[in-house]
Amino acid sequence: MTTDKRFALSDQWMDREGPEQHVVVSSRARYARNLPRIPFPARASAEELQTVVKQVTNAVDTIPILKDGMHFSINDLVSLERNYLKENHLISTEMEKGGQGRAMFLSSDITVGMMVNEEDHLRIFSLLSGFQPFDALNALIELEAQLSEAIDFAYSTHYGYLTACPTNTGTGLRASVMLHLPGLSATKQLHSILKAMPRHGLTMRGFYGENSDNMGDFYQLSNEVTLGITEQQIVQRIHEVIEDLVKKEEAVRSKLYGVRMGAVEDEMWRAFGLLTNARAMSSQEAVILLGKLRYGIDQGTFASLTHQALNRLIIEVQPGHLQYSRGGEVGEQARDWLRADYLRRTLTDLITPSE
Amino acid sequence: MLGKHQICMQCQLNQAAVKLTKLVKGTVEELWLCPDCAARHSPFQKKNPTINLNALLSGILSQAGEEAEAAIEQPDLTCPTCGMPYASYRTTLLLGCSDCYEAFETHLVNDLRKFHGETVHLGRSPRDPAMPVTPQRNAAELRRRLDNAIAAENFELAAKLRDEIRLITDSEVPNQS
Ligand SMILES: [Zn+2]
Ligand SMILES: [Zn+2]
Repeated sequence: MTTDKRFALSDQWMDREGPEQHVVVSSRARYARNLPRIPFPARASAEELQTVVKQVTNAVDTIPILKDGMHFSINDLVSLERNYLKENHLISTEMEKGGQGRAMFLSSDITVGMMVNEEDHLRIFSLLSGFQPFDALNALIELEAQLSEAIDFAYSTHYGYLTACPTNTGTGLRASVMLHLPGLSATKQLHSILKAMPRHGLTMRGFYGENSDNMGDFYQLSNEVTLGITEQQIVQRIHEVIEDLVKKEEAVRSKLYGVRMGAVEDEMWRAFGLLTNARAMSSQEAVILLGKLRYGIDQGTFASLTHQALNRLIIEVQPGHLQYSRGGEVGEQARDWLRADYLRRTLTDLITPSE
Repeated sequence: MLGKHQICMQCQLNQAAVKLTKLVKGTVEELWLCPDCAARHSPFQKKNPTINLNALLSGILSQAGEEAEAAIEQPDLTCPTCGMPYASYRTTLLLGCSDCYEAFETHLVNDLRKFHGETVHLGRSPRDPAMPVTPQRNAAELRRRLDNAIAAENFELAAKLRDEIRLITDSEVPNQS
């Protein structure tokens, strides 16, 4: 089996510096949009799905940022490639399944893109590193406005943009931010923070792992409410909550480091020891340990390591990426060996531990 | 009825999205759940969690024993454009086409209120120009953050905030001198 190396781009969101990157990993915004008179993808015929793809492709021809980027039908990709794109946060789990008439557009700098015929005809998105929710929104609005010159979107003056699921109706906007909260995760504060989110019309959950798990202390915060609120208000809420969270996280980190520096440092060095010595490692364990290393960068424990390097490592130890770099499918047990080997080599090269 | 942001009665954490009506010993009990808890709540969860949640949303599941879930009213509606029956929407929570909004409006409005607390769109419309959106800043909020920054001895941030405050207050009170 061969994989198409065009996705193995070295410069993506995770490789770029961003504001508040010690706490905020990435900022994303997406719009759900549909074409009028054509059934939503789940109820559309093969021809109708093709009509959508054709209209969108014609529109893209007039938009340089997408025209010069990458286009592909999801069914033309092998499952490893889809998995790879999902682990890079570029397509959804639903899109990864593949399906007739499902297409993908990406700008060449991978800051904006579009999924066609997922739950809605169009899912337009922008993805930036660090804390840039307003920049992500503005990039999204700009692209949507360009598309709307060529495509009429289903819209009602009363309900706004009409989406397949009524949880997206109105603005169709989902703004989200990925957070790394090793400090707050170690305290009881986090529980009450999570509990307060619905009051702001927001929701926050662990990013890696199922249900309530929060492997590596990574979280995703996003808006729940999309109707009866403006785009500005949605992102403003997120902006305010995150500004507050960053302050709280910083306060806890410096307090923890002041009070129990020995214990915190010990934990980081143990993570380092395992990552550079283990012979087999699951992706869960890798994410947890790499999360500790990411925390260690902020405290100056690992001077030569960067947030960018850690962002990338966490994604590259995922099953799809490991297999992608191998150019083919690898069994779970063999993957654990491959992962440990990869981590050992990469981290030994990257780290010059400070005393 | 569901308040603006009703919290899940099971986990007390997430926003509720699903109402479960149960008949317990002859009395009707209402249970508001988030999708996660709703999925866990179903008796068929282990077999097929997706179908289970869908069936749950439709409210047509009957539970074993003395508990029985009362069926939510199922009006006999069909969208004239895409031909989707309303019952199908209740099962999947997905509409068939943009015209379904009109066809199922009287019922859909309740769902919109449940999910968003509102039913009227306030965001951008197709004719709006793509004007850049920026964070709203007010001087009081910035002063509060400046105090915090000074207290935390984050002088770099403090300097930045002081500049921002100066910018705002200058534009608020023009030509004072
Ligand atoms: Zn719940
Ligand atoms: Zn319809």
